Amino acid sequence: MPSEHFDQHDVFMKLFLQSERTLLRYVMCLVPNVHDAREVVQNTAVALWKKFDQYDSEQPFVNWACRFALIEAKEFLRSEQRWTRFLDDTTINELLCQRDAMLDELDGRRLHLRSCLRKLSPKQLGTVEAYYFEDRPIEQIAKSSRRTVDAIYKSLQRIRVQLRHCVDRHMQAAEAT
Amino acid sequence: MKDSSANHRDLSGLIAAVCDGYATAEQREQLGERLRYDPEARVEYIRYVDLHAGLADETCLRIGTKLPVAHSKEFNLALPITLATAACLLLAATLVVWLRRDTDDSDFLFDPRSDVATLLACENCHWAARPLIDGQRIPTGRLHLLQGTAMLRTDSGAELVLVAPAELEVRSPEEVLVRFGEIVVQAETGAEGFVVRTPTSEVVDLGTEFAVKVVQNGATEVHVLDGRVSYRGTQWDDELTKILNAGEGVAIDTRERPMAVPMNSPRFRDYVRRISPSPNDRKVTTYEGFNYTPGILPLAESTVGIGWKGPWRRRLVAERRSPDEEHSPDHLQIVHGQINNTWRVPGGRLGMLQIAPGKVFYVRPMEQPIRMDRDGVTFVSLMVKELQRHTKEESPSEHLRLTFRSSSDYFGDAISWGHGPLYRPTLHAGPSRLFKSPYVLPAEQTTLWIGKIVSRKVGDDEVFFRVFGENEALGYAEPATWHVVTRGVQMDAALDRALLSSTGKSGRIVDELRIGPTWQSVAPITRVEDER
Repeated sequence: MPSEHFDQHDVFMKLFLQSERTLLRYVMCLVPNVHDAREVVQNTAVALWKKFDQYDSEQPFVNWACRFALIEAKEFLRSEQRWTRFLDDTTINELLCQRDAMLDELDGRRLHLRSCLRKLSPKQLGTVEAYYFEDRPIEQIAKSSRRTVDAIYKSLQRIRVQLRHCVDRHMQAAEAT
Repeated sequence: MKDSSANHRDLSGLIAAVCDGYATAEQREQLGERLRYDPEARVEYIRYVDLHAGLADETCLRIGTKLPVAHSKEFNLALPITLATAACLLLAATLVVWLRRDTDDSDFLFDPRSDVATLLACENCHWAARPLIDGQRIPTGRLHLLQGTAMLRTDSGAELVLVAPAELEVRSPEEVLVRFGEIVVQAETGAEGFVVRTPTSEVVDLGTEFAVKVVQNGATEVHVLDGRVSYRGTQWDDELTKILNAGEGVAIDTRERPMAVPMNSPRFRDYVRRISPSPNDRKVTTYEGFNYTPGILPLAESTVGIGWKGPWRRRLVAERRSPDEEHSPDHLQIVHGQINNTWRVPGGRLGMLQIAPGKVFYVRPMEQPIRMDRDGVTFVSLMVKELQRHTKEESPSEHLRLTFRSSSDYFGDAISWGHGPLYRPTLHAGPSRLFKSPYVLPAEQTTLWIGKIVSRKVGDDEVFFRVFGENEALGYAEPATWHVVTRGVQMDAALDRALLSSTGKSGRIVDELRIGPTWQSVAPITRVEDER
């Protein structure tokens, strides 16, 4: 019934958009490249909508969606040649179990990441902005900032290490209080 | 043999190469091997990748509220996701700009590019600067409420009650600074992370409802009504951030010393209940309820209603184009009780207009035009009953539109809400701009159409369109999502002609055309108690 579709899709879109960030986070554990992970999330959305009539609304949507995301991520790792020799099913299960055990810690880290971002220098922030937020290719960032591609890769790595240390310090301090 | 820190550096380098997409096949395989056999490597990998994911999506809070809601399985999901990504990038860029800038104390400019919130409702509001009106978009900048209670919704989805006297600086969709006064924040699922700063503290919502009270010297109280928040003094090290749970309160004095206090604040819904629309808010400027005796009513006798300059009429010769012939009936067919009025719209069960199949056009002049050359907000609503849904195979040419045109330039700027043969909400604005929703209207039921016009003296105007199905309740304020929203439209016309146009094999029923300055004036409101 079209009228039912009207309501159903309304509900679906709200649930999906509420879960999208969680799904991206989940998928990136298995497909850690952000562009590829976004593609997997998009494939997941299509799969979820096709099966939405089977969704039990008494169960958390995000759990149901993660099951689909896992299938899509595995399919992606199987079908994309550059990923085929990355993770086997046993390692995927190990990673997801480990991640599940760390969820509270990861949530805490996410909170501190926001504060730590504010401590980056303007130059570092510019690199983060260009790479993560503007989604620009490394080559383009290098060209516009008159640096080499390798320098940008190194810079990104240094930024993440710096943020990681900052988050670690916050976590340790929070545990101590 | 390498020491553990060298091992750690190697692992981080491998993970970075894989994350950034420059790893060789051997490196990916090497990382896979480490993850397979080394539990510590798995922990390290998960922490690293989650931080990487955090950077990728940290700014994507509440994209859903910015998007129209899809309604058809035929709809390609790539669209909302693409929109979500685009919105994410835009929002992210905004965040980066915000991270870089200092405090901006500038007053509002009517610049839609910096709009970050909507004023939902006001009770006895008296603002220090220019008066603000319900439905108005709020840019970044200062809000000084001298008297009354105001409700806002930021574009990140957080809803705020502001109680006078209060001064608030809206910094972004995700952050406000309360200089003094009291606010209650409701940030439900998806709006987590909303930040309230005060002169002495920073409060971060973790998916909850909380109140912040700030006195003139900056001393702050935080009360958590539901969920939890994190808080810290502005001069505290980040590491000293504390968590406050539901039912708890804390006072932070001017020296940023925290002290537990009993939780003591009204709930968000208490304020919603308290803010009852004033009689003026309820007042429509233009109203047509077709409240006549059932039967045939000559057009010349259709004089009832509010805010009209004359009765309904057929199009004049100068008003005819596509089609340029006029075969509309010279009467209105009035029926009663044919609409499923689930919203309990007053008057929605009495007279209503049944439009015959064919090409029907009725025009009615309005006393008070919708002025597009001034700053203002106008809401419009119309109830519509679709009598028969035609399939694609039948090649339907079904259209229904409610259009507002100008008598001085009839085919110039216009605003039109409606649907075409695909039964998808469409919106025409300006001389010829068309905006379509991909969503299919519910078939053969009554729908409530609500439009909103934000006109600006300077800058783009914005027009919104939302269709409510029979099972959809209306909120206390305008919805967070609209089915169609215009972009890049600028008009300066005075729209003083209402045009109802219907074409196709099926007739349809329309009723309760309302035009007013507020959501409350055109939308029957579901009481908060009913929603619980």
